[in-house]
Amino acid sequence: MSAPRSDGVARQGLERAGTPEAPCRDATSHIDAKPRVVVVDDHGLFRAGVRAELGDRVSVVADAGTVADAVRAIERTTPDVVLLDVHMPDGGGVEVIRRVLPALPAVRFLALSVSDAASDVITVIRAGARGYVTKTISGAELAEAIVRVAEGDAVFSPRLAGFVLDAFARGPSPGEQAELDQLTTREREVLQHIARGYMYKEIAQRLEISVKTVEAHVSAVLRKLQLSSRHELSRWAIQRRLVNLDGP
Amino acid sequence: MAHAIVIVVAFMVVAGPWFLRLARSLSFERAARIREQERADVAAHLHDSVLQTLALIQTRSSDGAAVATLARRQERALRRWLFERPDAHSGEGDTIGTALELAAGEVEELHGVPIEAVIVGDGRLDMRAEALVQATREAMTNAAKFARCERIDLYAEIEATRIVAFVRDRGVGFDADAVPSDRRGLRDSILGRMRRHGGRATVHSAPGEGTEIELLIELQPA
Repeated sequence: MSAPRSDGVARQGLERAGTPEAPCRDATSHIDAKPRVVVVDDHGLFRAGVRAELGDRVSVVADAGTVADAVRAIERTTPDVVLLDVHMPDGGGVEVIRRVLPALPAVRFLALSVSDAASDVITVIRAGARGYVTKTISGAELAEAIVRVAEGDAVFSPRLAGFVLDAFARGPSPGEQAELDQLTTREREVLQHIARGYMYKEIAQRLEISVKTVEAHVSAVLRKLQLSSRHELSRWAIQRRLVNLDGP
Repeated sequence: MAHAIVIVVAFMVVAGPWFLRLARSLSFERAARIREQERADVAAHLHDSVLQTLALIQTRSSDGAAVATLARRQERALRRWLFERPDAHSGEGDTIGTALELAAGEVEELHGVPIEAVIVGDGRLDMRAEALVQATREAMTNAAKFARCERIDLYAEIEATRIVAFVRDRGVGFDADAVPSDRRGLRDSILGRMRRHGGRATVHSAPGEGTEIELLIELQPA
């Protein structure tokens, strides 16, 4: 409840959550167990819909409609994954992550929203969410995304891949962490394929790498997104769109 | 003279607070009027858009496909209204990005297949860019009409010197060499158009594998 909010602590939590090689991947006992999920959204109708759509592929242990309720529910149930609405009164999904993650770094967050605004989505990812999907996703796809996040992977929807490519489109920023501020050629290729609508398995085939390597690239991008010194990543991306209109 | 001054001062003392109050209440009134007008604008917009759509959805609730199309269309319109930059309203489709989004929206509405459009970067819409937008629209139309798929993905990357766009579906796919000659869409509107404007279009498809059409054009330096 009184989780420390200082940047240093939050960052430690982030780094742990953002490690690309999540150790639980090889734990075979984990694969059979259904991930335990808390659904956080201020629309009751939507929460009910998600519960129904997810069916029995995951186990929804609680849901919540406000930031305060969400924090209580997560602390009580310590779920594997929190399905988190980006937009909510009292600070939205970001506030939930900020209050929970420092004390419970093992809880993973998957952001879910109808919003198109790049800045909102990037803010939630930077706060520590391990993925973002839009609410138009099908029930089966959502269940798969949850399983993936529970296993420690990052989940990028085509839209998020687009936002990230936009944010990293230009060369290195003047900062000293140059390697965090740029995507490698491979990472860029993987993101472009996600944006084009390919699934991880297909991307692996096309790029002649393993699915595990695709996942590692996506996790690395997530880490860069969270730790890059480009604190104004999103605003900067929006400016870039404007700047570009004046010609090259 | 002294009398006059006294009278003026007395008048100011008596009437001053009244004037002040009047001025203040006028400015309050003005602020309230502006707020009221803004509220009325929002209400009018919601009435013309969301409420109309909800009414339509109620009358057609048995037709699942129609309801989905109505909801998608309304979602897109509302989203444009909420998130679009103010300067994007200066002219319809005046950047490459907005032109592509517009085309995707129109094809989606016309054929009832959802199109997930992801666009990175932006730039001014010149003749070559316009050709690419038209070819992209045709590619999306083909996918919506022939692929029998549930969703189409459009991804476009707009750089200062070139645009590359991908239209991808998970539909039935086809053998590009065996396309009947009466299918002018692919030959003329996509491949031909891109070639005429110094670009190229590549079709990746096989029966059962879905289709991806890749469109690329170099832009003229401004």
